[in-house]
Amino acid sequence: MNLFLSALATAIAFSAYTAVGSLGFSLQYATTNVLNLAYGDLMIIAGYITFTVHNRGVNFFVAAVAGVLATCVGSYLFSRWLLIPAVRRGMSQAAIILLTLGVSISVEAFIDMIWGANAASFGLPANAFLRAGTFTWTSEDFASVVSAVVLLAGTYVLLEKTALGRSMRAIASNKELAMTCGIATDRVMTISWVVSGLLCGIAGVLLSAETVSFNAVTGFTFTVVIVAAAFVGGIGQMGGAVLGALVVGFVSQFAAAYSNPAYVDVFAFGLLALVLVVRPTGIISDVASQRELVA
Amino acid sequence: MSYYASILLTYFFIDVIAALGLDIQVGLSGILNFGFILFQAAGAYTVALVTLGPPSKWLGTQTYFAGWSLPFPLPLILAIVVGVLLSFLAGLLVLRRLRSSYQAIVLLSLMLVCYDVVISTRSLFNGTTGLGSIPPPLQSSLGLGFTGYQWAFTGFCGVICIVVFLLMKRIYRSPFGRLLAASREGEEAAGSLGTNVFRLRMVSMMLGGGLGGLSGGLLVGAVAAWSPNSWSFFETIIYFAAITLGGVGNSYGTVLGVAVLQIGIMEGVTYLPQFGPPGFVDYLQQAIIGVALILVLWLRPQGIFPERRPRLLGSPKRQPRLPSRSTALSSSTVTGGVS
Repeated sequence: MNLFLSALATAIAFSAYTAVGSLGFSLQYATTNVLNLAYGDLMIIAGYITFTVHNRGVNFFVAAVAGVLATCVGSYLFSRWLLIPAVRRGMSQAAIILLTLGVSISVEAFIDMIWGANAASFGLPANAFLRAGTFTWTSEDFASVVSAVVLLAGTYVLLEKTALGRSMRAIASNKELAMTCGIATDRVMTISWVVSGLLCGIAGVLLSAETVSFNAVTGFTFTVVIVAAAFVGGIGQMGGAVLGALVVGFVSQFAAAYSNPAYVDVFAFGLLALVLVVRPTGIISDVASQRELVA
Repeated sequence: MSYYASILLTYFFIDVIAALGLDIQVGLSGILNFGFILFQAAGAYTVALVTLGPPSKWLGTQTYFAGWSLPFPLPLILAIVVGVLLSFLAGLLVLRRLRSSYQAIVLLSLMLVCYDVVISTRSLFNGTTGLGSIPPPLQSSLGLGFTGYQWAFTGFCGVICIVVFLLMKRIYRSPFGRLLAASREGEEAAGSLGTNVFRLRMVSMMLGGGLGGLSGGLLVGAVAAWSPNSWSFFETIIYFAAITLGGVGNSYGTVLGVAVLQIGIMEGVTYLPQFGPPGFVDYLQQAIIGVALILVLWLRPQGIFPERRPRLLGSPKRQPRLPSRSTALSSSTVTGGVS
């Protein structure tokens, strides 16, 4: 029971910031149809900018805003200069994935050059925010859960209840048709990328705070966790991203807690491989994605 | 200096073997194998396990399972066998119904799972520290002295490398290779003509995996050690960058890419005097590989030496330029102006 409660606490917090990240990832995938393996590296940029600004003596929340904005701008430029032109040129999926990998290792190298390979840490006071038996949440855990709930609700309202969100979904399901119907595709896609950049940045700050000490490689490892969440749930769908984050978070945290705590990633990545092999469309799937994704 | 040259040359031959193995999977068959380094590691660990002798010999300084001392050619053969078997299993998982980007993700996650398990389970291959003092093949029985043995080993790798290279060139032009390229370009079309695409790709997967295992076994002979550092995901990216730069689906391109990136940028620089803050050279190397990968894909996705089209016997030497010409990474179809 003790083990169960502590695993539950970790699993909820882990799923929360993974959900924020995978939501942004899914949004990118839906609008551009590109598997962006540099996503985690863009996330960790937010962590490093926050770290630097915070170290200058600025209030942590102001620093976090700066970090999120940096990632948001980075994600926008990355899409504008590289990904969208690549898609427009008709580059193959394989080439685009390799392109994002090139960006990923370059970003890691530049982070190492600027900040050094030593792990960075926000140095936030470590105190239990909420405690009930062995169910312990730090203030970071609590912040993750609250931001996840707010952001998921906000994204849901944006996508489902506004005209802008309807245009975004229209572009995601059929770009040509959306264009023909008079949707300002370019502007809406820019907004999609800014929104996904914001989610990416916030997830990055949360990840950096939650892992306590992070380095350049933290980003890439987390990319695979996010890919796992997005694909297990059903890629390109907002509900799938959240469900996937919960499934990956709970399965990996509980399995690791009951076997070997070092195996969190092993279970997350193993689950990803298993789901893709057994049911490539993920848990939530529609006919369109089935036709498009599976050969 | 002579030692330095022989080491570089050895790495060159071994990396060419591995890159040719990756190229038959990626360039010829279109299988985006992001887990490639796993097969190299499998070969390396196999050779280590069957040459290190019983673990009790090391009095707890390194732990591993099994542990034999097999005579020379056997460890290398076992390395190939393990690479082939492992890629067969991976092929069963990814080659049946998944498209290339999905194959890439599954292979990447399989590799990362194995990597994390090896790192956190010390009883397998000594955890993060890895295995050391692995006896190089025949070193004691040849009696050549230090430099002499180095050059003998280099020559041995060179012979294997040339054999593999000629074999690959042959395969690329053979009916088997042409069918692989055809299935890459149009899976349904090839399938409808009676080609068993799954079986073809499985053979290519196993060929690549076997070469990966062989390269791992040879690397262990060259450096006498193997640890998780030697097979991080970054190593796979370097191989991908090398075959992309040279030209996917072209053996000459593979050799050139390995010479420029693996030897020129990665290994060559490692032996030069370091400059800048500590670790700066490593980051610079990584940045160069990353930027090179981006630039090649952007400016010349078919690579320096593009894949050749097979010429039929008796057809004119200069063929009319075909309008569509694509390789595994550069597609010729332009999908409208919408994105």
